[in-house]
Amino acid sequence: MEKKSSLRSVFLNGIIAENPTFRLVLGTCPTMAVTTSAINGVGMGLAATFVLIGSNVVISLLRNFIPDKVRIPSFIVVICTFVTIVQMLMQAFVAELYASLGMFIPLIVVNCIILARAEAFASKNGVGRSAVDGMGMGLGFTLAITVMGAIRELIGNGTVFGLSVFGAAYQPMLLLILPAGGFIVYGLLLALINVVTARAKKKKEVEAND
Amino acid sequence: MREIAKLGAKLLLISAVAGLLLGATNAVTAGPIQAQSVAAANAARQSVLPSAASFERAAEIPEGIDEIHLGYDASGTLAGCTGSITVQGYGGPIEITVGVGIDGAVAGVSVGGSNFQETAGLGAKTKDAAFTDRFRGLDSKAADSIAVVQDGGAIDAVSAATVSSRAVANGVRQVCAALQDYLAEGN
Repeated sequence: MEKKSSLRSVFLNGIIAENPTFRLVLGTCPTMAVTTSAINGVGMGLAATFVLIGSNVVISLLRNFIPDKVRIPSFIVVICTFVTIVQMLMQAFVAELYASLGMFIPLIVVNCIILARAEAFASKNGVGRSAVDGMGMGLGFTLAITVMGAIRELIGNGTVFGLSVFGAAYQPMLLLILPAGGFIVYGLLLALINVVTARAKKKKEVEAND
Repeated sequence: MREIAKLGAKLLLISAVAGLLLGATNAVTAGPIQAQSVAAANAARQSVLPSAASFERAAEIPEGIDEIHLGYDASGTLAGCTGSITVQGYGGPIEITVGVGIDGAVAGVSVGGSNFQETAGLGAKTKDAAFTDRFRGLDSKAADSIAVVQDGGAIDAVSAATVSSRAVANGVRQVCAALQDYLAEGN
């Protein structure tokens, strides 16, 4: 077993080094679908974070019980159960929250970040570390899709979080809100982040050689 | 063979526990969820017919209309009616709810529905108050005149979204026509 990293680095790992959207390129389907506005990004991100923490904890608790050979179906049953229970409880007791986040919850079941973290992390780590990993990954996802939503909303509708930025005279570039614009923005952001990380890596290597 | 049986048994156990948890949650939440959806539907009707305090569902409704409710004010007199219809928009079905006051004037229109798929930034703007307010105050007795400008009516369509706008205007017209009988009954 490799050396265990600190909780802090587990947390930051999800936000920066292995950002699920920009580095792992997971969960691209909800990323495309909901990033037409910044507020959608926040809603989807927070709902996914909550489920991610919960499912990571449950999977981690069950990791010694679930047989290796049927782990994927077991994970899926656990995740779906968790998501459905959360949805029903929200709908019944916090209707206002459900009204704003409810539409994202069924989408979370098909969010492969959840399954990927169950497989790659929670099934091999303790409860506390899995919860921290879920939090880091979830916040990384939230951050990424909020940024993307803000860019698409700003250029495609002239607003950010519903607030007008450019004034009424701005002629919005609708393409950015349509699916094609989603791919273009996503591609450009991925390229930008690759350039930044490649530069940082090079700098580190140069410093190490000096 | 033994291993397969063991795997199957464990998977069965996991699924059984999951099913049990789901069943238990459903038993607890079914009532509140039902109450929430009734309250939400009532609030939606009230938003298009603010003069009504309580609603009563009409038993017999014309074909093509989803639901009609009679709205009563606080003293129990008929304040108006609301009707809902589902029409085909540009991207999918659009649910429209129209409230008409007892004087026959359109009190409010709401557009949306769970399957609303009009294009973001274009047809989706038919949901906005800027568009739905264009119907407010129109005379529902002259329902035939409720149409988009392109069809000879007075409603300005959302620019570049004529199909969605026309679908909404046509839906409002159908509901208005259907509500006349119910408004007349109250007089």
